[in-house]
Amino acid sequence: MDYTEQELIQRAKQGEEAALEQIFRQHLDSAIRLAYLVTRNWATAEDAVQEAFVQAFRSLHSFQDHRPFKPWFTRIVINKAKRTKGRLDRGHLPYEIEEENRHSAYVPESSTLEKEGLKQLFQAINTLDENHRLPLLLKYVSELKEAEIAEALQIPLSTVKSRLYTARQRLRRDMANLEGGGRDELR
Amino acid sequence: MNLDEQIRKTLRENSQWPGSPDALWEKVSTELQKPKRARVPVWLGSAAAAIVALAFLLHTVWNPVPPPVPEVGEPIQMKAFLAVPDSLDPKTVQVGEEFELLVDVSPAASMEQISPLLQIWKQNEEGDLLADERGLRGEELRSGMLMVEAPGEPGSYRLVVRGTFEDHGQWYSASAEQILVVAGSTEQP
Repeated sequence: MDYTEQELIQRAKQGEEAALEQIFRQHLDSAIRLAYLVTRNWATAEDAVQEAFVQAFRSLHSFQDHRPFKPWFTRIVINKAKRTKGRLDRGHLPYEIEEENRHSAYVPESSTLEKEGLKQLFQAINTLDENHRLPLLLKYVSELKEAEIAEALQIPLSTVKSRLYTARQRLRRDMANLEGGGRDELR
Repeated sequence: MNLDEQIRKTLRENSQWPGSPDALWEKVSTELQKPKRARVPVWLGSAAAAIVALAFLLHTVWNPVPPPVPEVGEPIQMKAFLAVPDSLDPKTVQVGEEFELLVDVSPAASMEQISPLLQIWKQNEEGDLLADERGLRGEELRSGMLMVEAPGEPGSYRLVVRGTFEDHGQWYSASAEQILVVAGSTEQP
């Protein structure tokens, strides 16, 4: 039986495990992708997401029913991922950045040329500073609206708009430079 | 494909999770069944630190450190001079020989003033007999080393020093006890 998000949360608050599992499965995909793109390591991304779900479910009693769950939960995921990454960066845990997601090699729908362009775009996204990269991830990975991004990152809506605009401009410029460079090399 | 679609696609393709949702749910579910870890509130640490500080303050107020002995300007060694005389070990000297007697000098515990004296008791089978006695001056005692001339007659003696003296406004008590064996020929040359 399908429940609305509010109904699910109500049931979860009452301790119904099936409701908790349904919420978990609804939000797992975007959470794990986001955590990976922040930490760049699958094992630590899984740890961060596990901790995020546990914290969210334990704090459900304080969650206001009328608010959307996803921005609230995404904020928890970001905090957990950043904290885990911070521990890794300080050398408290063994850590290896997985430079390239090997699983992407098996995605069939991209042609070789297109794939090369997407790879360069991904590298350009990774060179963005965190202030511009995070709103981008929340928009395109977590599929949050700009107002929800503002809520998740605890920054004004106007700042979100400005950062998204700047991020896209930089990516456009970087991609144009790469294409120009490529043409120069061919000449 | 416009930039938005490209961004969405590249992020999606580069974040293909190799893990298992079921396995992760198992971990989350198991973790949720564990009792929540007791967290020590932040204020509790501050409160504990405040209590320790307050206890230290009260202890200091109620048990003040006694005021230091006033400085009198001159030699510090006089204020707490401690010589441990080897009084129980007999000292052997020659007739009429001058020797050093170690005297215990320490700040006087009471205000009672006793003129310092050196008594030389001759030990014999009937009991000790006062052989000599002389008054002492503070200047002789302040170094903790008293120059004494051995009796002119061989035998066993007990030397006793007792008394108090003043030095730079501070009173000290002096005490010493020494068994002395005076060796030497009784034959006159």
